[in-house]
Amino acid sequence: MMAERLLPCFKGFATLAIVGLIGVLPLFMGRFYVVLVTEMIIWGLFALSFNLIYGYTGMLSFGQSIFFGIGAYFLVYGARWGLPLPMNLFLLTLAAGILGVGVGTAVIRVRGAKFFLVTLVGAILFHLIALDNRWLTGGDDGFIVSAAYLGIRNNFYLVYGVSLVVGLTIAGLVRSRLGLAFRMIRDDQKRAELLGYWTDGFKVLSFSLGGAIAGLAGGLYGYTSGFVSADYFHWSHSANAVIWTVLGGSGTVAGPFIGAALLTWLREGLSALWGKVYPVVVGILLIVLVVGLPEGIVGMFQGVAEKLKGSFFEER
Amino acid sequence: MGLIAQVPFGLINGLVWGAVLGLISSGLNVIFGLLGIVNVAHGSFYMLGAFLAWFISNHLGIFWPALLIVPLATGLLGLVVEFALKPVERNTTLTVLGTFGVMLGLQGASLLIWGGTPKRLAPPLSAGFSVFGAGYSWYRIIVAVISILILLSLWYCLERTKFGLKLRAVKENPELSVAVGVPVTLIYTLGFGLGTSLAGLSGALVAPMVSITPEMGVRIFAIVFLVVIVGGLGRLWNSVLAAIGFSVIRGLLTIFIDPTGALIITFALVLGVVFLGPRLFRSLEG
Repeated sequence: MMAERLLPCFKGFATLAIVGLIGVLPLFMGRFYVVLVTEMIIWGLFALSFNLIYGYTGMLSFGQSIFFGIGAYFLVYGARWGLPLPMNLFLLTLAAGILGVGVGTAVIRVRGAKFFLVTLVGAILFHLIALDNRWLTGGDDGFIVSAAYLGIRNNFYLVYGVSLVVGLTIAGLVRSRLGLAFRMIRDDQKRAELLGYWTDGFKVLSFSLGGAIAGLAGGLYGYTSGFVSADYFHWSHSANAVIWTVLGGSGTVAGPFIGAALLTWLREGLSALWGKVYPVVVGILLIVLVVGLPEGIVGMFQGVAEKLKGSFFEER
Repeated sequence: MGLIAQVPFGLINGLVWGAVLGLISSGLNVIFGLLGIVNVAHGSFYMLGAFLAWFISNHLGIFWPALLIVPLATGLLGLVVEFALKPVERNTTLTVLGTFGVMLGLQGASLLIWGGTPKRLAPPLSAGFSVFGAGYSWYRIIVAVISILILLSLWYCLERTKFGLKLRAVKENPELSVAVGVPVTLIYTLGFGLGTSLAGLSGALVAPMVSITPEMGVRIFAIVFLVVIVGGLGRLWNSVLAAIGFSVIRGLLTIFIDPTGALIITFALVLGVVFLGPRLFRSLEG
């Protein structure tokens, strides 16, 4: 009984402590590291958007880069039209969400391996179109974001605050009845249909929410780097979101952030030493993960916690 | 080059590339279409085949042995990969992720070993002929012929031999296959190896026709998957037809618009077929 109550309590405190610690980090760290941590958080947010679609609703989408790019380009054009930043971020999130309804409605018609492939080809198509229409996107050369920069530290707190709000919202959402419906579709779509749930509607909703968050991540990334190009649409971003989520633990809120932070840090660390080795390391890591630890880092800890709980009960 | 010359040229080139694409996708057709393993790394075996062919012919000074050595090497590597991923191969999502890891690993390793500068290999046959004034290499014609010959022997292997029968049986009915004594696990491994050796062979064949880079695998794998899906999983000739259709349409479009635009339209068309395909075919059947 004790253990059952203590564990969530402990988890809550630990999460609070880590989140709080990250919040005060920029007061002590150098500029380079503040930017690095900002980047980690944005990638974590981006991975979270994928996780909502894959980890909670069971759709292996490689289309997240579409929304990442759309969000970034809406930021560029919003800034040109003189929209204030909060308004701009809100509108680009909305736009990505609306696009998500459209794309989602199209892609949920196919399942399994075909779903993966169709979303991937969709992402490739968007990238090619962005490359081909320089008047609209600037192609490879891209555009400078014409919004006033807040400064490194303030930008960090903007990203941190937005991600905290989104993260908490998602954490609440997946524990709500809606999240339960998502997970039911993930685990057994036929049963959900038989119980009378409008599974297509829920899937589109999940896809669109994921798209909106990916768009927000794209907007934040564009704002942070001050530069947006067609490369934002490249499907390798989708692939990264997949890898980060699987490493951290799919179907958890903390997992994508942990995975993104670890691999971003690893990439930075390896670039200094032997950057060319990074893709090989990630490739091997992915194979080992899939075979040996499909539930990811957070899932592994959850497993350990469950075992601890079990042993407590046995002693009684 | 006038339009009169460009259209037949585009047509011939599209047909040649279609035959090659058909050969690559025939490998994936065995792995994905027959065995149901979503091998995202298929394009990387093709890339590896091209690099190995370049490496071998540079060392031996002669190209042709590569066509024998490369499929053996990529086939063996395929056996290893399938063995490593055996625990997850029935789970689509995990297979996608695992083979995606293989793709990253192979691409990264090629970049590490051979570097990112594009490699070029002189065609082993420099003779050519003229298509309405435009030169065309005989080697490409030979590649198309070899591709079709191999496709024919693959068809024979799948439809007329015991091995092919077992290969088709394990997906159709795994329980029954085990019951009648088909070594299912071994068949999966061998089928995967057959598929990757075909991918490697295609890579070796085209090595003298393209600039060889570590990215060439990533660039082709989505196309190969589309071709296999459009052709209908497990149907060899349909996927070959789809491959030829894809290449010819793309080749002919390139005459009128820029290559990126041509690729966009071709992708969009194929995507449309994937979405509407089942309904389209059903309405055609009545």
